[in-house]
Amino acid sequence: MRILFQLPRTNILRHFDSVVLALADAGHDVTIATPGKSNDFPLPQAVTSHPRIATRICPEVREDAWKDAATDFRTLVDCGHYLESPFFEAEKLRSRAFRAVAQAMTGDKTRHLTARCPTCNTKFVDGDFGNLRPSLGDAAAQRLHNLARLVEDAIPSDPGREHFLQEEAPDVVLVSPLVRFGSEQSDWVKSAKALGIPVGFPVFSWDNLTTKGVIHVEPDRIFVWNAVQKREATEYYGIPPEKVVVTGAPRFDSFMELRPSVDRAAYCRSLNLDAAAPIVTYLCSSEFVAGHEVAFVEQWIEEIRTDPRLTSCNVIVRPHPRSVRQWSEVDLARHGRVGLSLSRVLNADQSLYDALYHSAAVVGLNTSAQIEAGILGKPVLTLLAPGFEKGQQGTLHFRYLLREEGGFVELANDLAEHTAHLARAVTGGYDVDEIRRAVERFIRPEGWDRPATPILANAITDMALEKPSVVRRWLHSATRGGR
Amino acid sequence: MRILFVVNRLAHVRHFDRAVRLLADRGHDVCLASQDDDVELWGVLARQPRIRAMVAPRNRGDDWGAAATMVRRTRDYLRYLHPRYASANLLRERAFEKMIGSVSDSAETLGPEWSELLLRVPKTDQKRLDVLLAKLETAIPADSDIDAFLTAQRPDALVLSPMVGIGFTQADFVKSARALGIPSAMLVFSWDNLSNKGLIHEMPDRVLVWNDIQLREAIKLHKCPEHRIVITGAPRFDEFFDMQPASTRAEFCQLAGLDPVRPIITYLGSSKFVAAAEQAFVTRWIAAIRSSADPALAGAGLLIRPHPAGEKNWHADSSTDVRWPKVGEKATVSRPFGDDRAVVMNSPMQNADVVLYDTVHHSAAIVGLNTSAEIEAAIVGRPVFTILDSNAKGQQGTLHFHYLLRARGGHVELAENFDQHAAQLSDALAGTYGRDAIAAFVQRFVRPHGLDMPVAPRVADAIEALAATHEADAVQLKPDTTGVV
Repeated sequence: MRILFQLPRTNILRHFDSVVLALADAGHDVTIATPGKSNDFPLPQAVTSHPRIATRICPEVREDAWKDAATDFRTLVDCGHYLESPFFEAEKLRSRAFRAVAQAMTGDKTRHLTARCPTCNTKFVDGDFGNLRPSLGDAAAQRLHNLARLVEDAIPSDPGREHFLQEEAPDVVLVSPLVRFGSEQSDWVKSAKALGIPVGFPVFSWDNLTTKGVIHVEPDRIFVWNAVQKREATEYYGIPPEKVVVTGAPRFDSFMELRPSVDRAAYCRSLNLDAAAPIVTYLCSSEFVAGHEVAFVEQWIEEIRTDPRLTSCNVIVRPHPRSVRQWSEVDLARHGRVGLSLSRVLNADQSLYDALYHSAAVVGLNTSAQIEAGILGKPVLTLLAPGFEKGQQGTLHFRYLLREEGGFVELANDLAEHTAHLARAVTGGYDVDEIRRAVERFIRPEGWDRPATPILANAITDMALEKPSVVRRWLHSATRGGR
Repeated sequence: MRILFVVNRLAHVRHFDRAVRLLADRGHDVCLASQDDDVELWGVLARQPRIRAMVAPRNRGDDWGAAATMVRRTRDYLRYLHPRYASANLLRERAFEKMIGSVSDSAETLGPEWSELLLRVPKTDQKRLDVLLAKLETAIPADSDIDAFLTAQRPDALVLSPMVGIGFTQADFVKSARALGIPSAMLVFSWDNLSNKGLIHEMPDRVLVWNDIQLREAIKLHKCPEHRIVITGAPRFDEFFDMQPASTRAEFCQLAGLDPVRPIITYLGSSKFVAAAEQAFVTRWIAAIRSSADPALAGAGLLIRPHPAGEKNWHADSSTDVRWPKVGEKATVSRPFGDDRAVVMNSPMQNADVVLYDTVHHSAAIVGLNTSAEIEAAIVGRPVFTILDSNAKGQQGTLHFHYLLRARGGHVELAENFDQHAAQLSDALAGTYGRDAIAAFVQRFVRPHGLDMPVAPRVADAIEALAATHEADAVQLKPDTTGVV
């Protein structure tokens, strides 16, 4: 079977490399098609050296009459999504969507859309428009959905992509992350469908169906992590349930195979920590969620240390891999027994594993690494932090991990409550089985012992077998006819 | 040949009824299809068996109905963000309100001030959005219901008016006509239509305009290729040109209750859209006239003619109906201002109105804020004056207001305050005003092919020529075989 995996950048593969390798190991030919950006990360050596995995440069944008219009329109539709009722409180997401519109409309990242509020004369720049809290009623939302559907139906398949797909003649096409603002990948879905090639969309991450753009063109299959994402796909995007396949999250399979690289004593020595005292790891969030987090973290350290039960505990601060720069000149040594775990590795990070493994409890505002902490059965805590509301309560996915929503993250409404939670957690006051069950539901709904990689790989090949590619059928018949 | 007119209201045909009649008199079958379910023919239209009326589809019948309106109204709103409309708050507010209404199915409103939010978006960015919306327009397919309607009528030419109402559906008729190979034309309904309504979302094969100003508007504001534009003049005034006074001055003054010895100044009311608080303005205007140092002006008879669309609000409780002695035309008169020499008089007619003609004819000067009747006043050769009123947003906030101004080649004298206005009126009462400039304006604006050249034949000629291209192409519409086995 020939499988074409189209990605806008090579780094997207980090969540699916195990799946690609599994497909190739099973005898399928996999082509990874990217536009070939000059600053792309190199693909893993296991991928590039595999005899059944090839890479190809593919078209990035349309070159026909819909070149800019399709992207601009989709960006507007993406922005309209954040005016709908489920996102009324998602001011930060709405602002980002408006910023995307501003960039699309100006066609230039160096210019900005500006305006003044007609009622209060406040100046708005780009994403500030989202702060207006505009909202659509149900009737308006329905009308805009209808418009989006009609226009999308009218946008023709891109001849450039069709040509590429005809050359490649895959049995199945995969696209991810698909839901970026203005998604040009929608045209890959459209062209694959136009050619009768089954097309699947493995969801990139846990927040992707609630924090990005919409699914403009419906793929034949959407491969989601869990029941939550299945509900998101059906409720927010109208995808028929039978097209949504729950596979689990393959990105964690390799993390779950990791083991600690050093023992506790050695680990604590490396970070000047007291091996006899419990470790609390603070997982920083992305800059989008938490902005500049340094001051908050330092204040948090001081505050929790005022509690006698936590005075002696060690603290490890793990900056978000994409935001290490803001920590480069921060001196945490003055707090005593505080280590900084810097890493730019985004997946299956051994340093993260080690930090979590040796921790008694983990704290974070809103970040994927909380899931890794849950995988290791650690109590994970969060608190509603003033100044970070938009990146926490202002996103939908924040709630998915909360214990009160069926997750495993303990939420405190203020620092005092949080300190109490933390003091209890470091002394073992938590139910590890409950954490495991919640994590299982979220990343391995088929069972803790059933990795998601083979499930997704099988779902991909099943899709191709259920609906064989018209192009491939034609090629097979032509070849037979030629003989 | 078969000529199909599609109008959103049958009453709108009054602006080109003579052209319609002429086409029928020349032997063509003319169908007037209205989108307001009105099929009752009147006047010159009722007495010609080759003219018939029918109902046209009001909206698209497919899923695109609301969606197409959203796209078009958004584009219509966008046009009012352009710097040329910087002062046109009123037009922007109207377009914004309609856009929001189309998105929310009229369930939601936003304050008019929000129409200004994007006003300072640079032109380049506006253009990108406009290009996108224009592209979306190309995605809107021809509607099968309208296709079926046109197929059943088998016209040799389709003529549409007014086409440019904000978010109007008539663009869909052009779309279907093009798909079916039927040539199409748009008749510009009035002098303001190309600058203060919506865009021409689907460009017909011909655009019939009044004058060179509209030609430039069609090109610049609507991106109409110049070769599609035909300057015909304004057919709506042909009948008015032919009119003569139906009353002597004495008879008129008796009907209006004015002193025939004193000069009459007529105030022509504007639409509510242009001047929402006009009665308060007129009260101030009367006071200013009465306080003039010029006894002729201070003592002049003042006749206020409300705009036909809102006349009921103007009259005092006790009004009198009067009839013109020979023609029987009816008018209503009252004195709501507590001034014996200031009357309100109106008639129900909107076109070729005897009462309007006689009113203007017997007036020494005409005053108005911004209304079409100022053009009729020029046709009669009377001096016309206007004064800036900050409450009348439909003056400087529209483009067409400026077209009639003397400083822009028009015939209307503009005053910035009452003192200047009173001085201008005194001159006019003394007979000092530019008659040649008025005549030159009328020729340029209403009858560019000559003051003695009626416009209806030119409109009919242009439509005939268009229909002939269909015949020449020998395009035969396929019979509808739907359901035939």
